[in-house]
Amino acid sequence: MKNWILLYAASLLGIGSPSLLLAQKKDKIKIDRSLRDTSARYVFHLDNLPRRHVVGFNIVALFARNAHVFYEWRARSFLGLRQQVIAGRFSQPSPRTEVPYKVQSTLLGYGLELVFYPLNRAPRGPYLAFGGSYRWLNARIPVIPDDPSPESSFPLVRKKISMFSATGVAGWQFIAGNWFVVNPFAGAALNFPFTYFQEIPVPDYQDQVRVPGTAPVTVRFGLLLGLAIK
Amino acid sequence: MSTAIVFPGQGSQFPGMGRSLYEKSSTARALFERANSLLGFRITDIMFEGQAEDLKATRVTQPAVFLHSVALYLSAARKPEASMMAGHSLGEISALTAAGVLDFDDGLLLAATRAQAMQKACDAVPSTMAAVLGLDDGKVEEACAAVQDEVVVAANYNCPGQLVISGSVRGVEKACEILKTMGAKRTLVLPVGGAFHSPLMEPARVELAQAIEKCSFRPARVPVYQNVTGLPESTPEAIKARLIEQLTAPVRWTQTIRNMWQAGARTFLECGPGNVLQGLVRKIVPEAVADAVPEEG
Repeated sequence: MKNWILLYAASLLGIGSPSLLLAQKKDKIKIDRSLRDTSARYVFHLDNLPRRHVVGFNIVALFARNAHVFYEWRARSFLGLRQQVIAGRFSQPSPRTEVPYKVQSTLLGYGLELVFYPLNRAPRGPYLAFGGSYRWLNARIPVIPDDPSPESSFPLVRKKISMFSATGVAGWQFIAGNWFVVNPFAGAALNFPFTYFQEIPVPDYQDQVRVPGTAPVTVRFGLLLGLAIK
Repeated sequence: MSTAIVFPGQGSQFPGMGRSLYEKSSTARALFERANSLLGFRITDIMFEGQAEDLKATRVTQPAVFLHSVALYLSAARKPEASMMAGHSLGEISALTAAGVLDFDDGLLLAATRAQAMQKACDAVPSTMAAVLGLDDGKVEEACAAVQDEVVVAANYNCPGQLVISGSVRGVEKACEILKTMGAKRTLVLPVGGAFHSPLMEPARVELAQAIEKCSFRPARVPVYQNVTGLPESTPEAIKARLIEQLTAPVRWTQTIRNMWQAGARTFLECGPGNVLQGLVRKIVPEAVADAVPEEG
């Protein structure tokens, strides 16, 4: 009897009683239901910032007279990881003065990256991004005549080259006032130009012409400025 | 606003060269036949009917290019009024002939002698040349100077960003390796069997000098800018000396065209087979007008 009284009293106080245990189980079930039913809310609950979209541009590219814009979309369900983000980056430069023997400009380029925020604080904090980009480049390159001689002229012709690049960059996305994005990044790209090949018509001398300016490895860096949007 | 006439060198030849000129102009026809007689073989048959490989033979190429160039100039009913002339490598003999320094016979025989002497020098030492693209002249000279124990020098300053080096096979290979590390966009070993315009041509220079001494040189009707200095000489003796030096010295074509531009030349007419020099002139002085001397109809 005494035990039942104590148990009743404890249940009123909410400590250690079977009813309390039952209530705790019910809470957990509720949370689980919440997870299944409103996963987005759960994600935002764990995040420090409920933003799904980030848009912006690379201010460093402007100095090189390139337009480089980016869009970042938080899609974190497909691998079961909370820190996944898909980012698209596009570039479209303005025309430049022609410089012989070098790639002149990117006519159009686009890329797709998977971005990982290891601290689970997407879209802010340090991140690693891996992806690829496909670009059309405008170049003026020398054409080797059929029968090159010491007095040959090697004319420079305009060529459009397409190139695939595998990229890897590390960066840090700061979001000031929950809206304004500042994102310095740096990394490298492996480049594979594959539309231009010229066999030199010289006996016993064949060579693949690497398009000048399309180095096998290039450095990528920039400072993205933008907005985080719900 | 004056006009310059420029004469091409070896490398401008093509199968069928000169045929239409031979058919259209009696003056040219007479010069072609005179050349057949002086050379002792029918060079016109090779020029008109031969294949590219036949034209590549050194004993044929140089006289053929000279013949076509000079016949084109001398057969023109209305000669373009030139205030100055120049020729690229072999083309310098054509320019001197057109300017009245040499007569046709001497010019042709000098071209033939030059070719044979160069061929002998090529056979004596394994040597070659390479085109270097996309690097400043100064850096190419630096790379050549860095090659030890081998002969390799800058030979043809064709236009900005296009320079040809010349030397022993090993020397050229070593220089190409250095040039790539220095940022050359391209080095291309050329299919030539000799190191033209390098010290390896010294035996040919001696032989050519002997032939030149037998020729009579007259004052030029118009200034002829010469390859070795990129400047015109005023006396026959000085012209002769520069022509002899040319075999072992570089062809300073870039400097030559720039000097002609500074002297007032605004139109450059290429007189001879092909259009290589027009391309080079446009690269050296983009503002210049470059065209070809037309065949008389």
